[in-house]
Amino acid sequence: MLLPLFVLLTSVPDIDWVVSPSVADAGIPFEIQVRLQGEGRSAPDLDVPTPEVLGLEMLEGPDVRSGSNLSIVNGRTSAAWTRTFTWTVVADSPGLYQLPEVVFTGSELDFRVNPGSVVVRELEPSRDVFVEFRCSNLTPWIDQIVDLELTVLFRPFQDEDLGTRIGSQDLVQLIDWNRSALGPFSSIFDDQDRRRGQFVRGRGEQQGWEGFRWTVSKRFRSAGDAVLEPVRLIGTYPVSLVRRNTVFGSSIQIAKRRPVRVDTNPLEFQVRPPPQDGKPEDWVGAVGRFSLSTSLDRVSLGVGEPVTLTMMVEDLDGNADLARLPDPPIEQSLHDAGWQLSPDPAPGKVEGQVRTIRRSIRPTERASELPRLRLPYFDAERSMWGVTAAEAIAVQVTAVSELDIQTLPTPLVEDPKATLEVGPETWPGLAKNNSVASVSVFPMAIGLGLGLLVAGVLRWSPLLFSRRGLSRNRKLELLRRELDRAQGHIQIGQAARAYLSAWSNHASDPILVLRKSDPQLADELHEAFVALDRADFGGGSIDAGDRIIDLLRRLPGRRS
Amino acid sequence: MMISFLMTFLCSIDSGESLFERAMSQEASQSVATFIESAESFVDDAATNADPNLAFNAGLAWARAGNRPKAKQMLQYAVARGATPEAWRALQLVREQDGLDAIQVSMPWFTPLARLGVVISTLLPVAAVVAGGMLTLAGLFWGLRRSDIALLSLLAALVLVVPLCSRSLPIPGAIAAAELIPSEGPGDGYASTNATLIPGDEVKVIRNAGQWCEIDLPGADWRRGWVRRADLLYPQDALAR
Repeated sequence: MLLPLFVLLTSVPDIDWVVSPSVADAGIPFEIQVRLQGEGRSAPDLDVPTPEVLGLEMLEGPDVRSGSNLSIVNGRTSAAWTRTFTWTVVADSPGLYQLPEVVFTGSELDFRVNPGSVVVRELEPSRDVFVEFRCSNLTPWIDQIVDLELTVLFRPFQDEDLGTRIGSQDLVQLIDWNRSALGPFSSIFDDQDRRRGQFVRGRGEQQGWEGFRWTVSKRFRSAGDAVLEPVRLIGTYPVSLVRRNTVFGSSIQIAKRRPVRVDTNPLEFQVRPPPQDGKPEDWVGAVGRFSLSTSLDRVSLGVGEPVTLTMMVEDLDGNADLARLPDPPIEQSLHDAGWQLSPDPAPGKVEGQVRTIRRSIRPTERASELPRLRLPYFDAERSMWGVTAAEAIAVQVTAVSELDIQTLPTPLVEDPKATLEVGPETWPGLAKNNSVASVSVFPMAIGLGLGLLVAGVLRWSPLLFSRRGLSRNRKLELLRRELDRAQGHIQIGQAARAYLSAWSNHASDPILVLRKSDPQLADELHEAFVALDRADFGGGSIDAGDRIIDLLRRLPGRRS
Repeated sequence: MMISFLMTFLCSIDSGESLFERAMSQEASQSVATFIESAESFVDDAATNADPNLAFNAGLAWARAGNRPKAKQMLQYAVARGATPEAWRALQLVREQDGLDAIQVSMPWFTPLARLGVVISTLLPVAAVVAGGMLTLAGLFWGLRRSDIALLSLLAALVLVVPLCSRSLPIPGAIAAAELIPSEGPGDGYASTNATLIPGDEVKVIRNAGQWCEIDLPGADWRRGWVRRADLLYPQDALAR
């Protein structure tokens, strides 16, 4: 009895690596995959090791996909599960790479993946696509904005036999942006609207080529050597075209294409710190060109009375990073002029090209004006130092006088109520907990289904049964609808006779039955039927059908 | 004797509230562990009670314990699931420690509906069953060609169904669980960006790719980066243990 159990626990399915595509190209990411399957409703918990192969760089993974199915055959239920692990890897050089033997350790069963191999072939740099990654300023100052340009040119593809030319507008669609390493340009290519760059034409060796150019801005935060990783484009280029004829006409499609990989050189920058010559002593790190203005919310103050100082720093060139701009060095200037600065942090606000900073300050007896506050900066575009200073603001500071008993306000009749201590500086207390039922969609779904079922049964069940069980009024209603829908003399005649027969309770001569209650209507109806029969043979009145419908509507509601 | 033993045992289990109160009276060095214990107690209570105020209380305890990522996760969950408005104020207090460029996820659109759903569930625990019954009645009256009464029943059912269902809508956003340096692509082989996320930074997830997700980097220059999904906390999973 223990033997089958032992065999089950030690049996290991035969599992192989799957490489997609089967032959990979150097420098182009490809996938290696392991697919596990077994019996049962769900897959066991597995310890998944990462395969390590010398020469293969692991980019992403494992991406885990799970699936299961349940089948019932002859009353016997069987369940099976599958689980797929996928790694995205890339090889920089061609060769034969050996995928290792890997064991996935599970709680009940181990899965052993057999060793495999993957062939990576050499991929020459494309001669049909040209990529240039450049920057006009490789020695920027610290915090200076530099423009990076990425130019992609395509050799137009021409098929002489078909007389067709594929231009850069279509060739750019063949680039696989997701697998390309785009470095600083990744944000552009993720945006569908910004993928189409500026149209450019090639020059020199690329004369006659067309393509696009993208530009992004970058700034370096620290001085020294900096390297921007090269851009690698991956995609395909057409080899041949084919004309396909369909019922909608002929169209030309790409029949065969070859992989393309183009690498640029990395960009090396020498980021320079601001020069020491002419550097203001109170420079705090502002890089750009600015204008500083100040204002106070009031200019008539008592000694020690806090007032809000608003500083507005305007970026004149639009290149500065206002969010990271250090605050102007105002503490010493304010102290010298007889002001005290609150130690509260200044969060600041950036709107457009203006950063607004608010600080709370208090005058001492010495204060007579708000001094000319200054902001020294380094103008990286012009490579020069500069200082912007705000205008001084005269203030009227009155000393604190002794209280005069006559000027005191009259006391309040009622004691003031203590204000609630609310505001951003206080933490809320614990909330009271109630017993709240969890949300279950099940009763609502059951109610909706039941409602639809009841409505369906009540509304459409009469259609399922024989019309014999219908009331006479219901029958007449249905026949009248058929009469309204009837087209042509023959259909109208049949529907009218069926209606008249039902109205008379299927009497042998319905006109005779009608004549007993309304002789004139019976005569008119008889003549109308004769006219309708003539119309069937090309004679009589054209509107005989309308005449009959009109007369049938005048039938008394209940047979006399 | 068994009853007295059981009562003694029950009294020895501290509730989240009592642990919180005890932590408030302790020294700062000792209170952290008690606050953490209190937060976990609130989360345990949430297994049997769907009141979002439990998540709010857990968020408060995590905030007092100095764990900003967990505090934000709990408070965002509590806000989206219809907790007391104090939860939103507590979330703003936690956000005061954010940097200048920090992204702040706004309150989900369905928050007022979820709050109404909590009120309905509190006053009428069988609200879902009542809503199902009203839907059945609407179908019955429509089958009987009483469209006016059927419409009224349907409207009454929707008044219950919409707030109740809004309590389980997915909550957007994610939070950095630790200090992160996003990379340029989805993998360890890509270069690092020059951005740094501090623990508790809220991030906007653009898309997911395997175990990585692409996020908006802080700052106003529209840059993006990639971080591991395991390094992010999702408010959606706040109560998952």
